[in-house]
Amino acid sequence: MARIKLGFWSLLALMVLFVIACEDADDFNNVIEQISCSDGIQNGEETGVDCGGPCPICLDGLDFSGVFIQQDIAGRPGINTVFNNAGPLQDAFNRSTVSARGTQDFIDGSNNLTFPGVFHENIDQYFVGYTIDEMSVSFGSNILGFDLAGFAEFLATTDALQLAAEGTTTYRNTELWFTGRRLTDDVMDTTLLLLFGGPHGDRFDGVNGPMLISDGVGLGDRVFSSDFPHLEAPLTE
Amino acid sequence: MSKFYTLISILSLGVLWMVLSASEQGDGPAVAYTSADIADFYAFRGAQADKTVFVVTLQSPLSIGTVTQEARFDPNVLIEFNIDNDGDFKEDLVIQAIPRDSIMYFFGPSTVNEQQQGRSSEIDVNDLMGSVQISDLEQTYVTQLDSISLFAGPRRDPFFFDQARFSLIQNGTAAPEGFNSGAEAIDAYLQSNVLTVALSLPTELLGVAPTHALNEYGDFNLPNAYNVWVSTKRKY
Repeated sequence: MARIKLGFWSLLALMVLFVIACEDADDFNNVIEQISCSDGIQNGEETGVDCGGPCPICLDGLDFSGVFIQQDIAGRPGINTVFNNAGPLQDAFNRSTVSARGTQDFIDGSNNLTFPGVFHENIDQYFVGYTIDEMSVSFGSNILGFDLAGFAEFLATTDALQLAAEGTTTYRNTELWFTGRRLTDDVMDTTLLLLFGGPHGDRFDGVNGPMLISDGVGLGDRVFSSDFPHLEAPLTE
Repeated sequence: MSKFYTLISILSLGVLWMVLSASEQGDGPAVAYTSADIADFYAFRGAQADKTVFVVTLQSPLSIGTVTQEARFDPNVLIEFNIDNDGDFKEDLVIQAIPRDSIMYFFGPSTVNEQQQGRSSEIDVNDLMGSVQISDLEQTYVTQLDSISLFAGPRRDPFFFDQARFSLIQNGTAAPEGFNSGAEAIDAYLQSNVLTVALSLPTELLGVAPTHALNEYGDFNLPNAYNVWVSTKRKY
């Protein structure tokens, strides 16, 4: 009787060990294969169904639906400030698309007033009342070789930051024009140079007429990090 | 007495108007001082040669203190980085950022087809790139994924300009003298903050760059370059 009992318990123990061994082997083989970020269940290290942990972050309950309509747009710096200074026209510019600015009337819809024309008129106005050696002065041409109509057209219809895929990115340096915009670039001086500097960039330089090609301010005490996000922490005092 | 206070109120409003006018970057009245107002846009090579950084600043100028502390991204305003990689100045790729509670979510780069190009946008949640906790005055949070970095929050305004003097030149008042120099030139943005969204990503995600736009206008021989711009879009 005692031998039978021993036999029964031994058999039971063996069976339990077998089941545990099988389960272990089963888990090991299947768990790795079955967890995925698209299996429709929360498993593994996921914090929601197929999200969190090693999967994409969970968007459960968040609503990103709907249609979003353009309010503002920015490519090159200072365009609306310098070349488009009337409020309603600035609003129209902010609602416009870059590719349509040369042909589409975003302003009135019936006057066929397009932004190259608006910019042309604005640039012209800057020279009213200015003289060099008592001679009145107009835009003429600028350091990029644009005449007034060409410059207005270029500004309006290619208004983006051109961003070089390789090499130096800068709004302007001694060799490059428009290959990006760094935090340190003095973009407003570049804009003023293109507007007032004439064909050689030396007109209105403070000697040859009043100083109009630099606003006289730079980075000041700003310091930018080489580490992302590069900008300074907000000022608190 | 009431007349006195009325006068004070009118004068105060006048001073306020002058302060606002002087420090405005000259954007349209419909968007100026709203949560959709873009101040500046930057695009440059990151610390690594194969990375590109995009930065947009919004809601300028935020004065130091309570105004900065209380500035918030608008959950109804989508911030969209547009990339044209075939030279037609229509967006071929977009990277979108929008806040939900204290998190900024980023989507893209998403391909934009011809029917989708233009003034209206939708978000494709399948293009989720990542998210970052929005930073505040005390704490800076950056999400660092394999090859992408994300940031959103207040920063010191990087833009510098003698805005007030420029306005006088623009309206003709300072025509004979021009700009100031030295201590007389005043940077309107030196002591202010902005809301900022920034990301760094591998440049190759932007596709192949087209011929530089300026090369079409003369013998400039500039390197191939994407055309990139930023827009804000509101859900009504």
